Amino acid sequence: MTLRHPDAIGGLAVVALGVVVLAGALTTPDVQFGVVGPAVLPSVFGILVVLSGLWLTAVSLQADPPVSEALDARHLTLAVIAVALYFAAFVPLGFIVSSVAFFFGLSWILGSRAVLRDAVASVGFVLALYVLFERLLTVDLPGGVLPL
Amino acid sequence: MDMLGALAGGFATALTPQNLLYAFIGVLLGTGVGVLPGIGPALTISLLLPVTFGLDPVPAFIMFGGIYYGAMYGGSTTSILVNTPGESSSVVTAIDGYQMAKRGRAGAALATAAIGSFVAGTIATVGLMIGAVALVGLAVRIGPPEYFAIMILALLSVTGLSGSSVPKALFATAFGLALGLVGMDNQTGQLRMTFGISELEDGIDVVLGAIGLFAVGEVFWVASTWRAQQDEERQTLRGPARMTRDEFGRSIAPWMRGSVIGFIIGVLPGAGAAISSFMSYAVERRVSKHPLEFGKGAIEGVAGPEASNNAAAGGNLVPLLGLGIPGSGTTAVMIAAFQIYGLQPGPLLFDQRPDLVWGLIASLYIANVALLILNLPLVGLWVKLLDIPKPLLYAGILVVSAVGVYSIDRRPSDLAVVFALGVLGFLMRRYDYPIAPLLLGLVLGPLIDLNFRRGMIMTDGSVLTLLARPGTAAILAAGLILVLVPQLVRLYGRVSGRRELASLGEIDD
Repeated sequence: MTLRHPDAIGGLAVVALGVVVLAGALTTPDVQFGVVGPAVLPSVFGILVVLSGLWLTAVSLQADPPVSEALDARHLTLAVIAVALYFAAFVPLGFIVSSVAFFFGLSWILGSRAVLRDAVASVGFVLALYVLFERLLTVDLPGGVLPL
Repeated sequence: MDMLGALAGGFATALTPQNLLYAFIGVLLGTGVGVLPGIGPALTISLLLPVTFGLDPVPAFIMFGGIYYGAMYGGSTTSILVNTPGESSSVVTAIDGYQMAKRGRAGAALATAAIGSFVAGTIATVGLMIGAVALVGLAVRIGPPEYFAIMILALLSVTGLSGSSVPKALFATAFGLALGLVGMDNQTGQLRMTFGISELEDGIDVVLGAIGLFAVGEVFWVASTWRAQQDEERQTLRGPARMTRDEFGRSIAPWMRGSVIGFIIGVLPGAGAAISSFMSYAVERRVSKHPLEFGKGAIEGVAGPEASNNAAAGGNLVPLLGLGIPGSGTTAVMIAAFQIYGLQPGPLLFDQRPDLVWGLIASLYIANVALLILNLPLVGLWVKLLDIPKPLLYAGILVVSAVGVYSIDRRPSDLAVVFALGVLGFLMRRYDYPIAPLLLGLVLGPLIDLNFRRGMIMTDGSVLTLLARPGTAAILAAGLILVLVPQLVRLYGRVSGRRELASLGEIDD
């Protein structure tokens, strides 16, 4: 009995998530208000998550591991890092600088090599969005390092 | 309630030149974003939500009517011209639509989809009006226990219909419900599951859920399959989008049947557009005089499912407007649009803001007409959107996502939540967990909690008394039946030997 099936590991991860939910639920102060306190349903949902994880693992132990699709770990990692950096830089660097850099960077990561076109597209797209939201729709976007 | 008088009032609101313009802009934006491959209706609405932030509620909702129907329609263009449609509600259309396009009949397929969507949208909007008003009448007689039961029914059916493994669907539902309860409890002021993180005290907005799970998750998915991806097959549109007399004649009955099937299935909480288009396809194949054409480019196989897909969109709004309960991922996002304006859809809204509710309903009629007027002439423009290079498309989606997330509360921590949900969405997609139940749970969590606790006060803390009320018992019994239906449907698919039908994947609308 091994954990060769991805669902076996997935099931254990689900159990862990359920334990986190339960921990959050059980540390909620159960003040008496009405008949059902604030911690009751979160606990029920946490238990359901744990049970679903156990169920998933149990089922997968009897199943043959599926032929897994190829995972392009390199491109995935790069994309995850790019999005993380973008979201982290969105406010400090500001919408325009962070978005232009991210747009160009992610296009490159996803295989586009038309450098000039992508540069024009990233600047044009981001500036158009800026005008639309900041000027027309009065949504206040972070200015960041640019003196806007 | 004087329905026609109220509707006339709605049209008076919606037909001012300014509001008419918003309806048209909504249709254009909804269709344009909906056409983009990989963007389903729920994500389309989430991405376009910030566009309405600067508006007053009435024009905002009129624009939303347009966005909603436009987003529902937009997918059909992609599924006819590209063999790998992004959204599951269009999977069925792709079976025969793409074959038609391969034979050079793309124009006819697009035309039958557009006119069918108009027919279905109009029928469904009439049904929506009658159905929602009837539900409002009913709603004053039912209490928290029944509301609780209806939401359980919605979750049971979306879980049962997800086509995934039961434990995976159970996880998605229960975890979504738990995420929905993160933050301050409205009834006691206690913080739940925030783990001391003050940014979580306001809870997790459903828009963050939709953008994280669908947009960010999708980009990670695309990156992870980059090496395996081949150039997609695409057909071009030659000539205008037009049907021959014969093709038109063959489309009429499927439009009608598809509209009825779609609306009825759409009203049922939890059953979305994907299921209805699939049922319509099965019906058309069965009643057709030339069933062998199906799978090889039968126009009925496009006309019926496309009509039912759009009728389901109208049907989905019945429980949303009538009871305030979303029955699908897409309407879960719609509820967020209401909440941004501090509004709660449901019976009370009909009383308090009739201008808004009836303005929205009138704008749905207008959106339908606008779709018909705009789509056939503009189909060339929609097709051009498919030429956007994929890397630029995904980069653009994420930039718009970041703007959308930030514009909700101007809170950088929301971006972190979206990132985490994106990772979760990617893992769920890779390992075949259904995502729609999670999104629905996120919205229903607080509503279930509220109604369960209120109901328990009514029954003095007895769960049995709560469940044994005639209304609750009947609704829950109906839920169990709904869970069994998809198993029968799948069996039917297997018996008739149609692999595409039997293996109909997850519902992500």
